[in-house]
Amino acid sequence: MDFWLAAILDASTAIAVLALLSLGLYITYGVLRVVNMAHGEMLTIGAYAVARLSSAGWPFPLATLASSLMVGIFGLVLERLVIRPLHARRDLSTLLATWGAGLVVTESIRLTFGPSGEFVDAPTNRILLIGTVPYPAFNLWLVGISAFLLLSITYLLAATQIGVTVRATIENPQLAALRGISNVRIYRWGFALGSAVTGLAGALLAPISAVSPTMGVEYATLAFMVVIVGGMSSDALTYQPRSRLGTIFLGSFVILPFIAGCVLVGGSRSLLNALIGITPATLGMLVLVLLALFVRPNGLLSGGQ
Amino acid sequence: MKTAALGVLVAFMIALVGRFADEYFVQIVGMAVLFGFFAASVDFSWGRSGVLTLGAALYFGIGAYFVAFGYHAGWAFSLSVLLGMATSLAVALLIGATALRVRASTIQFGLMTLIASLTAQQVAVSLYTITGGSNGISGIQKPLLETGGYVIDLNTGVSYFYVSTTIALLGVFLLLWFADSHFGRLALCVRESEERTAAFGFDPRLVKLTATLITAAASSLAGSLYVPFNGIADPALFGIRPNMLVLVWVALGGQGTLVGPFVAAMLLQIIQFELGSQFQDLYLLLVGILFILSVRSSSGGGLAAIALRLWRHGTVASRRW
Repeated sequence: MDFWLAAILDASTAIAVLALLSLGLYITYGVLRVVNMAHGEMLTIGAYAVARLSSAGWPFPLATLASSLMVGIFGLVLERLVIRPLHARRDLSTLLATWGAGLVVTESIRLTFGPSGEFVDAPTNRILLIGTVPYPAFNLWLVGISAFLLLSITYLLAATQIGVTVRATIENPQLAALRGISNVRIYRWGFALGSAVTGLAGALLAPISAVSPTMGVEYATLAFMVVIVGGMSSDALTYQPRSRLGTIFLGSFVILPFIAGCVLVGGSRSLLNALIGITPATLGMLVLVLLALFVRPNGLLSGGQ
Repeated sequence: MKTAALGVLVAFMIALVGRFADEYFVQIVGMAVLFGFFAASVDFSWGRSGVLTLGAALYFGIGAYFVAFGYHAGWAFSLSVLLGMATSLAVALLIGATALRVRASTIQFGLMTLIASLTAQQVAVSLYTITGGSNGISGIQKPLLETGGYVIDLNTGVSYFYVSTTIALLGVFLLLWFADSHFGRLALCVRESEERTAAFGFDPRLVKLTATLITAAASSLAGSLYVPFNGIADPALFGIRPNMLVLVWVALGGQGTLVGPFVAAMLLQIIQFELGSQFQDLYLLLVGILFILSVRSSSGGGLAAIALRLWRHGTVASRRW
């Protein structure tokens, strides 16, 4: 019984953490359709920033917010220098250029801070007892923050004026521009928001992972899997709710595919890990992801082919 | 014709290196030629057929690991190479069939191959009884070559250098021949417009799958030939770095020209080895910046392609469009 309780707790934590670190990618790739291959490196920047700031004596929450802001600004610069000039081409050049940017970031971090890792202390070391299973309080914080961010982003997209302009721009940039919505601004601030969320995730993950110049790679791989397998129906985005019920309906359409992706990738990996060990679990998860893509190529919650 | 001239030039250069250079430089050129072959094979699917493969090092690594494992297990060299190619083909078939059947977009397919490569890295680290864990399999000598009744020991002098570079050059010419064949033209059609190719009665997905398989087999061969030079096969072969580097070579050499990436990879590898260790740290940083610039500066050509275009004026233009 304890085994299953522990396994389920671990799986929920894994899902929440995965949602946290993929949310920024979901905003840039799922909503804005910009493939940001520097996603993992943004996580790394966030983690390094929080490591440096907390060793300089900043309290963890403040350091986390500052890291988030820092990565948000980095996102603005990246958008201006690399993404905007290439966006009009609508081919693979954004993907390749951001990948190059990721390499530049990794190497710069390696040159500045050295190849070895950094350590970040968690702000709390309390261990809670859930049933009979010990559970770190910090993980509970992660789950809470993850849920809060998911709800905020959903609210922003589904129920605010900003959300309407974003959805209009994604659906039809020309028409949106004719209505006075600046495409450039939407993409700039959308990308900055995604980057800031990613930076926040990197900072929050720093205490529970090994902070090193290449730490972002594995996380980014999982995040891309979540976004690909979860998918996102662009039809849902065009729906404009007229009532509160409609808004909730739209909100669930916006966020549920993403959550389903997190559950499939994070949950299956964590549960299988408890049962058969990490390597077979990763392979098993990969098989599940491939199967899911096979059956539901347009996203887990779409109607099939 | 100019391609043939270039081939003769490269062959001549290889012969010169093998005859006069010291052992260290021979090793470097040998590896560089194999990386050139690898780049050309990736260009075959990316530049020629429009199939983005972000994880081509997967096949390179599989080929490398089979030779490394086979060396210690006492398999014949040719058997290890063929087994590696067969495994690469099977993996490519699995990924390709899944992705192309579900009509994955180009980007999704590219990401799937990258994910596969990074997973292979993790598997190689975990299965330490077979793959030697994160240290990899080391101590690989150059192989014995068994042809008919004769056994040639390639471990002496520069014989392995000649054998491997000859195979790699033949491989590049085979790729060029494929690219010029009926199938190659079809692949070019698919790159330009899948819908129109389908309208002519060809199945674009089948073409893309075939291109993926050709890349897998050729990359695996390059990896197999690379290991005896390097002496070690380790999980880093599957990592981000080689996957990225090969795309840099293709982008810099000029997508779709096959020869361009071959030359770019060869030159960049030789330059990297020749630069001092002081510069090694900066190398990847510069590669990243160069990559961004080459993607930004042109519509698919690359810095080297501009130089190439000056030299082989007409052919580049007709090849690309």
